[in-house]
Amino acid sequence: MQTEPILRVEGLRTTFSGDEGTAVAVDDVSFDVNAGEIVGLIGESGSGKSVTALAIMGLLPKDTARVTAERILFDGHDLVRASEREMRRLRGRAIGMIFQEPMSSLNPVLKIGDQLIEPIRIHERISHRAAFDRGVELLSKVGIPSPIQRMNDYPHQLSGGMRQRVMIAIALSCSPKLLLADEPTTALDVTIQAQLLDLLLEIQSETKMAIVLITHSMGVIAECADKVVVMYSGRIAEQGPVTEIFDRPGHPYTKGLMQCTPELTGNPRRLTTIPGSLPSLSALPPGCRFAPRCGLALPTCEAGRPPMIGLRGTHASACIRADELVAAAAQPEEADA
Amino acid sequence: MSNAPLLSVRDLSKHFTMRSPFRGTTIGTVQAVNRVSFDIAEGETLGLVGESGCGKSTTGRLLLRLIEPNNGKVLFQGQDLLQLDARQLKKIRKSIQIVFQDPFSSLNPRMTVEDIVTEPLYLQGGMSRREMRERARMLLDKVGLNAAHITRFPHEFSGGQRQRIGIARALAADPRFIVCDEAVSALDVSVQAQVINLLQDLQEEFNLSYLFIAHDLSVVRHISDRVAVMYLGEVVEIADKNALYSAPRHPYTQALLAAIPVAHPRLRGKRARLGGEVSSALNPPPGCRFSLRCPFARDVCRQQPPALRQLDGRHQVACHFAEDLHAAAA
Repeated sequence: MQTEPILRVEGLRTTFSGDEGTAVAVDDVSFDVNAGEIVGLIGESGSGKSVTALAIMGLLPKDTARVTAERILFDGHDLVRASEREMRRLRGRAIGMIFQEPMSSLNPVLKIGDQLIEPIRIHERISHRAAFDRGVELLSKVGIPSPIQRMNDYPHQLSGGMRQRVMIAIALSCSPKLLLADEPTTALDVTIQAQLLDLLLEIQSETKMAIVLITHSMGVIAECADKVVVMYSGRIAEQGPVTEIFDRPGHPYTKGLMQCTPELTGNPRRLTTIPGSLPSLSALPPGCRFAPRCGLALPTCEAGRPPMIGLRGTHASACIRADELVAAAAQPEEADA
Repeated sequence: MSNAPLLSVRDLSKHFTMRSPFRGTTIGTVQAVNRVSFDIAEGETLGLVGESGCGKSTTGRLLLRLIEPNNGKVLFQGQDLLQLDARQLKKIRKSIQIVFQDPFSSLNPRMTVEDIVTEPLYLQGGMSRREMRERARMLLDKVGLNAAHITRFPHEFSGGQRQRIGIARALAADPRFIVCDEAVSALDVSVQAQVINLLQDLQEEFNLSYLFIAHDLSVVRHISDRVAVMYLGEVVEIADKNALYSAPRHPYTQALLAAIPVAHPRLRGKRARLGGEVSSALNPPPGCRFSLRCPFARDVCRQQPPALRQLDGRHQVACHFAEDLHAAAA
């Protein structure tokens, strides 16, 4: 076990400015990713999870987005202060990325092979021939049948699942230490999702790269993650080891999320719901952002931002009643009033 | 519950002819929906699941004749909808409604909520403006929206609220049967649960029947009484939901269920995965359409299409070897 994390995000803040003023999409987000670890970043639409990934990669548009952080340490580099040249050297080589839309993240007028070879030839001084061979090897590794023929195909000739496999192959082409996967299976059918998650896990156990897996599905988290970061409305609600989060959620939002997912085990007549909807970024509540929807909210919750409270081990929650929640979860099935 | 089902679908088919984009010559037939049959009783929810392109949404639209079927029967309260002329159809459509998937594109952005919700009433006729407005207010209240927002436009609402508007519109003409076509799929999970509960409450209050089309198997399990599974345009299994989820008989249903992510990290483990991908519905294989991916397929499967047949109770399955597979599993 390495003691230094491969990625350390501290105090990440991202603001977007437009005609209607500025909006803080990510507000003071901090988390660590250790080498060989899969960190699940979960949240609903607008929670800031994708923006977090793009900010780490330095891929947000410079004219509208402002990214600040105490630091984003990746393998000895501070990504917030890195020059564009330095970032270019890291992106695609030390850090790979997969996006949600397998339809739009590949160039439709370039052959699969050319898109696969491009990052290899940019980052490594090897011949076209050697890069081509590596590409074929990568395609077969991600489970694409007849890889040599596929190198000459265009993206539209492949199905969504196959395109996402190509994306994974491209992301893996220079053996990255860290992979940012932004909803890699959301657009896919459940049997294809299962195949791809298996593939990612298999490659991960082989290469020991770290993965930040962004998702909105508790099921995907349960299936893959070692550690979970729960985001709500631009802030971290809770983070900790995956079994800890599932057994003893320390934030009412996490607990609510789990209760309103109709899981396969246990099938209540009525689902427990979280009332209301996510706050708009232009009208955020002053204190805890979940307070207006929270059944446990106290007057103090609306007054100021709740601090991160440390629970067992690395588990921490931004809820002033976290201890109560965890204690209640320890008791077997206390009735949810 | 009466004995005769509210809706009875028999051998419903829709085949699209594919033409070459340049020459206009026929290059094949897509059997989007092929000989689909099922019943839905009064007050019952039939879940319809399957992967993209399996024909579940097309089936829903065929029932309302939003797409014209090629073949089959859709008996609604004993009347065959496919035999009706335009005037008769319009009359019966008030009893059959649909809620669409995308709350952003299924509401006209230039119409107020009042116009949207009262449009079905307006088309049916026989109500004054004031009565219609009264009814719209009542409906908004029913679906959990503020009746005072009746003059607002769709863009002023969130996705979940828009879906509620779509539900209010479907309820306006006092239907018996609603097709919910991926009605909660586009919503965030915290909002999705609210809309599922709403649909269940409305069903109880108005004794509605639903055809609940979705790709999310957990949601379908939650809301349905019975579930039908489709693969490449055909129904491969129909059963009471508990029977289907606890003892699936078709290899495809088994594979679908095995692909659902686990509910808790402690339940992780290697499970049998279905290889390959859904093949094209263009010129499907002559035998069982699942035979190309089925781990149990034998020669007969590749030659003879299995008919949907009755097993114990109300469990129907289209597999030559359903009994053998079941015995092997036990």
